[in-house]
Amino acid sequence: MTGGSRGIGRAIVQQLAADGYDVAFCYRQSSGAAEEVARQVQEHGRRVFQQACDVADFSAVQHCLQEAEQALGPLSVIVNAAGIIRDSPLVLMDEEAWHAVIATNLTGTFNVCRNVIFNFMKRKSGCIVNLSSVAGVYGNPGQTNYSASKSGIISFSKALAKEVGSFGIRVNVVAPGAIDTEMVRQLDAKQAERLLQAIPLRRVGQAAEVADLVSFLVSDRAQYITGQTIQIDGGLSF
Amino acid sequence: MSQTNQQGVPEELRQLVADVMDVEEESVTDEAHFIEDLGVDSLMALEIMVALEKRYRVKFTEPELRKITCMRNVYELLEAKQAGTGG
Repeated sequence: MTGGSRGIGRAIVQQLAADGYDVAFCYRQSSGAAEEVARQVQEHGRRVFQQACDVADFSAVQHCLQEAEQALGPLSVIVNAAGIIRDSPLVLMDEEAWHAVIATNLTGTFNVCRNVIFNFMKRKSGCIVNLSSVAGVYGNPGQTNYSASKSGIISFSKALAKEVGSFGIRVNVVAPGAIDTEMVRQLDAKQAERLLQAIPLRRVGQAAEVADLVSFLVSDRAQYITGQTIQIDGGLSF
Repeated sequence: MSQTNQQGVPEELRQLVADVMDVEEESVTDEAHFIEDLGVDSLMALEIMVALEKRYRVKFTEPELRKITCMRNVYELLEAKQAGTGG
């Protein structure tokens, strides 16, 4: 699990622990939050491994995964939830903002999948869920970099699902809409109202609801689902 | 590994690889490139690797996957692995 210390990633870690998984997760900076999440995993009676890791760094990811396997044994499920935003209209966006978002969100997903896929294929089993966004499906103004990275995750995952399906490995994407996290809470009242009007269910989603969907996708109940992108957005459309 | 043919690659190994690739054993010559000459998928190398690990109780590493391109390479890789000098 990448991006496991906050937001949607944190909720997914908690859900997977409740489902009976031992969980390894990485985070970028928030070690205090990571320790709290680790405690919650242990409260479910599961083992946990957590480590700070920049998912944009291929070698760091490789190292982190090796240590995770040493601590917990072979990995069976991967969830890529690490993501950042650097919002700006394109006309004002600098190169750093573009590259940073692509590197963490899209290349980070590649780095993790690339480092696990060999062993998954040898064992002929494994399940990957990559977090995208409705921004990746529809495009979101002010987020050309974020939208591109999340859209890239969708096509990457579809291609990978086709490559490794015959090895018994499933790859799916979850594309959340407006979820009650720090990002959405920062909207002002006017922005929030406009957002709610665009959502048929007239509310933002909860991180736990996204975690529930991920829990289903990695379970045996989803054995015939691969290559799919499932939007969880209250019906939101741009 | 037991019986060998005139090229030195054991028949049993050649048969195993041919079975994995679902091609005629005769077409799996020492130098025939699995992808370019025998027309198999590039991921077939991994299937061959898994079959070898199971039959000969060895473990291959990811870098060794790229060496599985023809029968001769497979044989040399396996021999080195069994002699404890490979991987």
